[in-house]
Order: sequence, then structure tokens, then C-alpha cells
Amino acid sequence: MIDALLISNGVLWLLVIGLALTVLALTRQVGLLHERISPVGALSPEAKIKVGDPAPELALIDLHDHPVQIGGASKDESRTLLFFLSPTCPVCDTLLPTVERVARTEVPRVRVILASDGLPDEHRAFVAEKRISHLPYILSAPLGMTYGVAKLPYAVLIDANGIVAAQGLVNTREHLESLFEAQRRGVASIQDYLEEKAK
Amino acid sequence: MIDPVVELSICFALALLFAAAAWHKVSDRVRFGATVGAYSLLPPWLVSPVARVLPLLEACIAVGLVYPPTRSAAALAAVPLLTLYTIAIAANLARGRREIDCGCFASSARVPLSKWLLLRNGILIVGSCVLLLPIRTRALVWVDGATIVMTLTTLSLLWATGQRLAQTGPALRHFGGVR
Repeated sequence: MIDALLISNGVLWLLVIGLALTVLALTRQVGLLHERISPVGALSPEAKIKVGDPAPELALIDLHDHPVQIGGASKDESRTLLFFLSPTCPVCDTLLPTVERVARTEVPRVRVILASDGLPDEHRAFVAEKRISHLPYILSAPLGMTYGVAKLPYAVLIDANGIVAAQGLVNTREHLESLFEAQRRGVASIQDYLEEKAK
Repeated sequence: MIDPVVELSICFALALLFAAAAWHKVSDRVRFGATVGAYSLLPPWLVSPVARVLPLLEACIAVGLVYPPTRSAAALAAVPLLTLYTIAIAANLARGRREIDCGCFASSARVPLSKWLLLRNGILIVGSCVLLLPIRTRALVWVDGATIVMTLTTLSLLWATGQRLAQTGPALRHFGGVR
């Protein structure tokens, strides 16, 4: 019996060494991944309102007839995420829950405002279908034009002082997070950050 | 002198390995033929017969390893076969042809050639050689059975992990260029 246990112990040690080596190889690959894959960022096209500019102060009425204030210093230190979308854009659709989730986990608080333009009925149906009636939903063509939104989904992050902190075309969660990351690092966009780092 | 538990563990592990390898080669014979051709070590007329014989040899070794009287013969046959594979891989690595598929297992899991495959085959050859050593006789108890089963399970999982690593490692190298 003691022989069997000794052998079992020996085999076990060999397997543990094998496992440890495998874990080592794995961590090496993870390390390589970290090094090779640079952060992706939201694409910032030539925008009308540049990062660092104050966001134009706009008083608008949303789809649920509530007044919404965009721009200007916020009273409760919260930031604003303007998310431009359209009911006919499939990427906006899939990104919508992510927008909410990301906004909810961000500190300090982020107020999400959805923005679009078109006929109210179409948007009311969209809001009901997606169950997003708790979010302010603004229908205003001038709002989109103010920020020079050409492609959707587009997001603008406005900081607590009413300054545009980051903006860009967002197609994935990474793009969206890059807006917050850009604000934290105090750069206009992740592309700028990478360029600076390369210098 | 090796312990019967060590012998049985290695023997079953190798049998499983050869059986899996043979099965994958037979189930996708067309592709395996192409892979043998891609190694470009054989004249074209020899490629097809070799692609047929190799899985057959592997299957025979797998069965031979399980059946005690033919065990050492099968282990003895496994050594040159594995050495042949290793030389074929080393030759293509020396030519700098890393991108061709190893052809070791299923076509769904393409593994490009790398020095890790040489190390892996080296370990397999050592394992086969260990089977040729004289075996100590002792009565086997239930603990031994558990040891063998657990060893086989762990080895299978480790093998799968290693296979994945060999697949993703070279893929990573392409990413962002070679340093």
C-alpha cells in the first residue's frame, strides 16, 4: 500500500510541474497579448465642436415632454453622455444596453441622453420596444447638426463643467469605454494618446 | 526498473494519443494527403500511399499498446514513427516553412509548425522509451487504479491545453509583426 501511495505522490508531483509549466506558457501569451494589442478608441472625425470646447448650452424638450438641459456646468457634478442613435441602425440597437451598463458603472455619475431626429411616432414605438422610457430621448435635428454628427452611433461625453471631454463614432463597448478613458487621461482621443506615446 | 503504475499510465496515454491521431487522419483522408504533400519531403507518387499507411500504423500501435503481450513491440514501433515525424517537422522548420499545418490531429485545429512540436514529440519519444524498461512486479491495489485514471484525465486536459497554446502562440507572433 505504501508503495502505491509513494508512486501516486510522485506522479502527482510530475503532473503539478507540467501544470505549472503550462500556466507559465499561458501567462507569457497573456503578457504578449497585452503588449501587442493597443487600446482601440472611438474614431473621432473632424468635429464641429472640438474636444476642450464648451458644449453649447441647449434647453430642449424630450419625447416624454420633460425639459432637458445640455451643456453648461452641472448642478450635481454629473457628466453627460449624449448618445446619437436611430431606430433603423442595427449597431445602435445592440449597443444600447451597453451604453446603459457602462454609464451605470462610471464614477462620478453619468447622465445618459439619447438623441435622434425624425417622426415622434416611430421613436415612441422604438422606446417602447427597447424599454428605454426611463432615459431622456431627444428628437432634434439641430442638436445633431450642432455636434456635426454624420455617422451613427455617435457619442459625446460632456464633463461636469460643461466641456466636451471626448467624442467619436462608437461601434463597440471598447469604443465607448475609450471615451471615458480619454477623459481620465486628459487626451482628446485614444488615437491622440497613441500618437503621443509613439513620439 | 519502473513501477507498473507508471508503465500503465504512459501506455494508456500513448494508446489514447495514437488512437485519436489515427482517427483524425482517417476521418479526413483528403486533407491529410494534402498535408503530407505540403511537407514536400516525398516524391508525388509516394504521397498518397504514405498518407494511407501512417494512420494504419498509428492504429496498430494504439491497439498493440493496450494488449500486454504486444506492448513492448508497439512501444518499439512508436519510437521510429515519432522520430520520423520529428525529423519531418524539423526539416521543414529548417527550411523556414512554419506556416504549414502539422497534420497531427483534426483539421479543425490547425497547428502551425514550431519548435514546441519538436519538444512535444521529444517527450513522446522519451515516454515510449520508458515503456521498454524492465518493470518491477508488485501487487496493484485500488489506489493504483485511481492514480492511473486521474493521471490519464490530467494528461488529456494538459494535452488539450498544450495543443491550444501551440495554436495561439504562433498566431500571436503574426500580430503586430515579429520583434
